[in-house]
Amino acid sequence: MAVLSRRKIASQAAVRIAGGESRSKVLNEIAGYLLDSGRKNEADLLVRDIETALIDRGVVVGTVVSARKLSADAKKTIDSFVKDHYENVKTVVLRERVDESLIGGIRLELPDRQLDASVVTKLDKLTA
Amino acid sequence: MAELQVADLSKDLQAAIAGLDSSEGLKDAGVVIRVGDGVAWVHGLKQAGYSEVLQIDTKAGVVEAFALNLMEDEIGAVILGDDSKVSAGDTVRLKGEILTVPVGEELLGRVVDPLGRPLDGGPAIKTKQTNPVEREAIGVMGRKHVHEPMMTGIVAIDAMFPIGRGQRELIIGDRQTGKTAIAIDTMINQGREKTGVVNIYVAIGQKLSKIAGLVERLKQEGVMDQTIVVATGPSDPASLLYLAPYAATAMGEYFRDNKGHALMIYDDLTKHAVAYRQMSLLLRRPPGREAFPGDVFYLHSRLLERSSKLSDELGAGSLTALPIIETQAGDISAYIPTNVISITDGQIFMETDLFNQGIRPAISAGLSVSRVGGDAQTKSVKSVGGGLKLGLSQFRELASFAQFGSDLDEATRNQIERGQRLTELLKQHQYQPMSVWEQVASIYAVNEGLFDKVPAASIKDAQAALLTKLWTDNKTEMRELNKGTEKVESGSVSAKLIEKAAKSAAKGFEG
Repeated sequence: MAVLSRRKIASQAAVRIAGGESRSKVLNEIAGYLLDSGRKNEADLLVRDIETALIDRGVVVGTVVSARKLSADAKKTIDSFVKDHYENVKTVVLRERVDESLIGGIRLELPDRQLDASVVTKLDKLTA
Repeated sequence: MAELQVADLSKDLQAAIAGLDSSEGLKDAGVVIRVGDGVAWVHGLKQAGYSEVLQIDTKAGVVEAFALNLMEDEIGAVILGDDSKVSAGDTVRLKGEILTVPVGEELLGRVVDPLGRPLDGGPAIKTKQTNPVEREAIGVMGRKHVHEPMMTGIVAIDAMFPIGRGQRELIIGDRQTGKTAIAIDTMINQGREKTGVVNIYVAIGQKLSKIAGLVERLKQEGVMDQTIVVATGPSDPASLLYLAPYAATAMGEYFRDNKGHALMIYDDLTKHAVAYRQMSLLLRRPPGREAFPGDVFYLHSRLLERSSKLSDELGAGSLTALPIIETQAGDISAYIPTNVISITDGQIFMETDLFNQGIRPAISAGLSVSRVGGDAQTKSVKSVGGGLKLGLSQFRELASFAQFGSDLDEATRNQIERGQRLTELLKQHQYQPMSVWEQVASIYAVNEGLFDKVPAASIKDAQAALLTKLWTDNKTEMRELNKGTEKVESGSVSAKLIEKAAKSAAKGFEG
């Protein structure tokens, strides 16, 4: 059997998840396929691919890293910022992570794009 | 007071940070998933184009790479620099441009790497213009036939295999046969004859000591001011070796496109092909003959096609190429040599046997050819060098035949003796390129039998005496002859002067 590319698997998974199918059922099937075909170590990359494929289905999943816990207002602003930058995105799901080494500002990690507005990066650029 | 200063500092810092904001925004980003042997595999960056520059954010700063394998799930990128700084998980961003190098007259006299960074310890190079490393060759209508001479100063080449501006002439031969020496002499000749041609020497994986020696020599000869050296050593990553000839060609094209003339020396394309093979194998492209990838022909054809003579509408500039190929045990039927032979407009074949016999430059008259240079040969040299190649080839054949017996008819013996004199005449020391008038006078004297009484061993001395006498007595006429526009044939003014001087010079050496 020909090896399926990650992009194809991800695209199928995104269609099913966005279509309302049970997430755990889809992921279980994929996990079974990966184990069967000896591609267990591609799991992380596949998750990224599914997240990327979900963008076309109107769902953006991302991570916001900040130096301090974000206020509700800030979260709302980020949410609308993401919606502004993608066409036809209805749902934005943001994971939050606090990392004091950023000093200030935020780093927004989306499946295919990144916004680095952290103070530490700006300082790095200043010293470079 | 102290508080005020701190406040100012804070403001300044804020302003500085705000100044950097222009580069901010939501940018396409990917991530390094594997790295090793100078190749990084990147996940994401669907928008990346072929040969586009990627910036990898590492802990030690930004490292650049360029995308060569665009696959469904990942990108194979070749790292330009130290791959040990890059690790899996690093963020990769698109720079939004393909590779470019600085070009312009500011580079003259400098030794740079393929990205245009100085290697000679001199100041940073600030040019007004940058050009893409990979550029399409000029089309049919933008070209003109090759018609101006690119004098090498080497009699054997200028007389038998003339090279024109815009031509690609391959220098091919085994190791230690004097391939680079020909290229260096050609560069020196551009300085001595004040041709205005810019030399660009590309060292691909050459020993750094050799490059240092070359630069020193060029400085001594006073041609470094019109030379750019693009250097890569054996310890540089394969990506830089691969880029070197393309980057240097971009630098040469600047002069070509601005109505100037440039001479490219690629030393050597064998190492270039080997570097590309290494990159291709690491990028997991399927290996073909001799493990080279399928596009190794295109690798060199697209490079050498950029050398051209431009039409008058485009300014009539030119880019001449002298690629060098190293063969193994004289095998010109190996993969890379046959490829490059078929791409170029002729080749100068260097033979180990001739080199060991002391015939230097060790150019093989039978295997060398120049396919387009005939039109570019100066009138003077053409008028005396017509039968030279045939005569020399026949002599080499007769000489091997004559070894079997000494009972030869007079005509054959004469031909052999003339051939021996010609062979002696074509010997030339390194770093001593000859002017047009010197070449014409020497060949004419031997062709017309004026040195027939001089033993072959004394031909070089007789030649030196002839040239000294001619220069001392007839400076004006020789300067005129040096323009190369005059046909030298029996009865012409120059011919008479040469005959007179040759007869007088020969007297001192008659055996």
